[in-house]
Amino acid sequence: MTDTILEVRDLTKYFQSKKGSVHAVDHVSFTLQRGRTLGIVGESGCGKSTTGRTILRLIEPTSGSIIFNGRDITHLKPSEMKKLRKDMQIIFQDPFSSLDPRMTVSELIAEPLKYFPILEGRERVPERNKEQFVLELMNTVGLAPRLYNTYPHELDGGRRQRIGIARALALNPQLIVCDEPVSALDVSIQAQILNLLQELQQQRGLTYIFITHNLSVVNHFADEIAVMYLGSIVEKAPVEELFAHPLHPYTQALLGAIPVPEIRKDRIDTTLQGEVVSPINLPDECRFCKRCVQCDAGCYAGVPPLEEVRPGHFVACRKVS
Amino acid sequence: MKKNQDAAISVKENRALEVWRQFRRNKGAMIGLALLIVLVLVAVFADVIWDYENDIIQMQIGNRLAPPSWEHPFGTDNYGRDMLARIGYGTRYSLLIGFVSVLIGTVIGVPIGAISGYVGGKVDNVIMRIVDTFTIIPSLLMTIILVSVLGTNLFNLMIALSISTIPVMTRITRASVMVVRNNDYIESARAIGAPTGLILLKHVLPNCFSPILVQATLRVGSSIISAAGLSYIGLGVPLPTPEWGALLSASKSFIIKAQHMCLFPGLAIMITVMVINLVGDGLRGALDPKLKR
Amino acid sequence: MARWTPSSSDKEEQSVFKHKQNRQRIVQALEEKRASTSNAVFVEHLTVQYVTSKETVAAVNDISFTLPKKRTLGVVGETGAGKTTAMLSLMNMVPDPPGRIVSGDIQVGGLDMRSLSPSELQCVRGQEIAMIFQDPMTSLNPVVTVGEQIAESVLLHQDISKQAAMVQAKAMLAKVGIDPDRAGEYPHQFSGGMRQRVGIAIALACKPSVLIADEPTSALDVTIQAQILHLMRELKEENGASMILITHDLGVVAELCDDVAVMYAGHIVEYGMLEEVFNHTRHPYTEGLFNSLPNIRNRVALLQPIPGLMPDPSKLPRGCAFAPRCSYATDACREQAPDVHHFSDTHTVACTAYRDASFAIKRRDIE
Repeated sequence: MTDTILEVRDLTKYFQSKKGSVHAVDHVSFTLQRGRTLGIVGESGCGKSTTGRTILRLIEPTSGSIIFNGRDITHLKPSEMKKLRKDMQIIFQDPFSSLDPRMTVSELIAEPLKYFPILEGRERVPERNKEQFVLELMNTVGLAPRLYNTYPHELDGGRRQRIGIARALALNPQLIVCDEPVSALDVSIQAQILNLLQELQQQRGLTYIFITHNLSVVNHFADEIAVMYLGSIVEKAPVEELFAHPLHPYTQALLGAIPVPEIRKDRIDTTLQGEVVSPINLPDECRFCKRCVQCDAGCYAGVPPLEEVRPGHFVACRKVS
Repeated sequence: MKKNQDAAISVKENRALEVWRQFRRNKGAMIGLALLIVLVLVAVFADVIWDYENDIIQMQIGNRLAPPSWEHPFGTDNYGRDMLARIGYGTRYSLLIGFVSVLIGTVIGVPIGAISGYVGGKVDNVIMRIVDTFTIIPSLLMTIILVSVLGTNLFNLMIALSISTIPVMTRITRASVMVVRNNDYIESARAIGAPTGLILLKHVLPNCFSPILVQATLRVGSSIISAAGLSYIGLGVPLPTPEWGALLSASKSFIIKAQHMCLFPGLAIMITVMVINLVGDGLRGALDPKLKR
Repeated sequence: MARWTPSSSDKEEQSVFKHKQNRQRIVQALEEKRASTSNAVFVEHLTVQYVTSKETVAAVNDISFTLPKKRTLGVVGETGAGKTTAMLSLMNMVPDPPGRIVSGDIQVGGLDMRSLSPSELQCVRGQEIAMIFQDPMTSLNPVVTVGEQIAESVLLHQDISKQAAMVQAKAMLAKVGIDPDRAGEYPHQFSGGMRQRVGIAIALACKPSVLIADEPTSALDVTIQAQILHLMRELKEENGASMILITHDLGVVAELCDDVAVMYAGHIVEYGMLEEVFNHTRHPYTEGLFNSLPNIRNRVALLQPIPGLMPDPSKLPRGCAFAPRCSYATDACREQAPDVHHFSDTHTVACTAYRDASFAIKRRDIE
């Protein structure tokens, strides 16, 4: 039985800088069902990380609304918001800067409990049981018990990321935003962490927002994918549909650019030209115009809206709709 | 996930012990520490070693300006008083002034800098402009003004030096906090619901410890030098108190005839500051968990 | 063409001038030392260690390979496999201390790199063999304009004036796809992809015969990566240079390389032509790498990661370094150093399991 755990409507975040207004997130909307995974994909500067953090209100949105479990949380007071923190957590990208270097593994994993001593359905976890609690979590994420008192800098990236996952799980959240959780890891460690995240989702019924720049990673993981460019979603579709029928020129270029570990004799060069435009003071036209091979006069008439062109498949491109 | 049943949980390392062991490896720091302990002991037990009235103040004109000898290892001054006793006693004042002024400056300056750096925006602007006004006035000049207004004694000297230390500690704290603030682990703490005050205390400040400590150590040295300088020009601790700066001042007229009168106070200042810097440097190296490798 | 003469007492300029004077002599001496060969790079039994008071780290363990002229070799492996150390030793640039080339014959363009003097090495680096670094953010000097950084390389190896060098620098910028008028700008004014292009321009400025690219696109976005790979392919063909590409990305290898060397814990575990290593994979570790990659053309339910971690290079196990993680490992694998098997003239694999003639890994051959 699926129900909507998160609804995001017209979410916008503009940063003010000396040169003008930075359109980090521009009218992003989507719905997420419980237990599913939404992949948000895009290259650096497209606003995917900012979107993730704005949903958790770690960054305050400029406008738009965030509806979590049917409740509008966009304008909740900080004290109210703090109570919700246990339901929505985040895993960070950089396993090196996301852990306080002065805390041991156990302290890091147990820290969330300090701010939420009483969890629903559980008594306050007494000091003597904290050790047990932490060890259980360490086991769940695959950290050996002997690492209980080690410091992050003594461990490799993969293990540190497991600590981050354990921290995110400590409060038994419903939604986890994974902000490029495997990008900084070696290839074989990436696979281990991805499998772990998938197993946890099945065991605990977690809902993920999986942010990444690597389309091939999200291929294995996500149910639905939203492709972002310069702050807006340019295409959104169930994952198989997206890979089978990429419609937006940017999605096509993105797919074409990924180097495949196979020898292909039929390599078509779809290399995208040009550099990403700066997201400052964007004009009111299709953001992708400057790099798009299909761009014509009609595309300058304003930002194209996201429209459903096939069942469940949304594209923001006038040439397609 | 395989359960790892072989290894037992390792004992949490005693941080203090680790710090000490790391500190021990730095030879310079150890020498500094040894000398510092000697200096502190001299300062603490000065009253026991020497009798204030007899050794420090009582003049013995017959023996004035005697060069260093077995009986008077540092010689005697122009009033025939034993220089070793006067310098030894003066340790009290220098160490007291140095540490207390920096302590007060840190206790006040660090929280202000931390709030300024973490909160940013208008709050940061206002605080920094206030700090700037204090920085613009040359610290020595400000100290002179304060001491002239309040009177020349040990207490006022310490107040004046504390006030000139506050802007420095505020600045360095603010700069470190701004760097640390950008790390993901701060955002991680916010994401699990930690209140701002606790984030500052538990996550931000402990990671700024190093630069603050180094700066504080350097300031002890420069406070001692400032105090000596002020005493030299008569605005510090008044004679006949044997503060090192005052001793240097008294030796002015006798530079040709009795070099030992200015040599030893000068050496005392130099060695004390050097020793404190060595210890501070050793502590910084020992405290940084990442520098362990 | 104006001849450059030292007119100022600037120390830096004087030392450069002395270097130029000596350079003629050194270049001649180098020509005499050069052996004639058809290989751009020849390495045999190379072992490099990092020696500290506490421990000895075996970074590179007895590797040998040959790179014929005009071919591209992909060196694949994860962090800690020793790829960067191995390639740095090609230029004799392993930081010493604590690094030490313990043994090995290293020949670049017929020159024995270990026997060259420091000034001879200076002539060779940049001219014969050049390097493109991984991180375009930190590999460029932030206080020198990009034009000057390219010109610096040219000036060090050619007897021309500063103006002529700058002309060449601008030409290089155009070649890598940057507007030559931007030669006076500083690195921070460029994006990551453009900075990497500048890095490529610096490396290629003197038309080296061997190019080492150390993970040149890892720090870049995927569409920019595609552009850079495309550029590297073009330039490589134009220059006729040989290239060694260090990477962990098998996709990049498939796009750019002719030969592949797979490294693990300082050893080359599989070596062969691209087609052999990809379509007729033989080593279990290589198979593991392919299995743990999310492949966009082949969606599987769960990836198959290689369990465990790479061993601590200061405490390598006896026997095959991969045995603890290998699902095919036998007792013989754990006891002795792995045998080397030749599956063709060009395809070698270091794996004891192949003693058994009927042994095969699960990965199927692709025709």
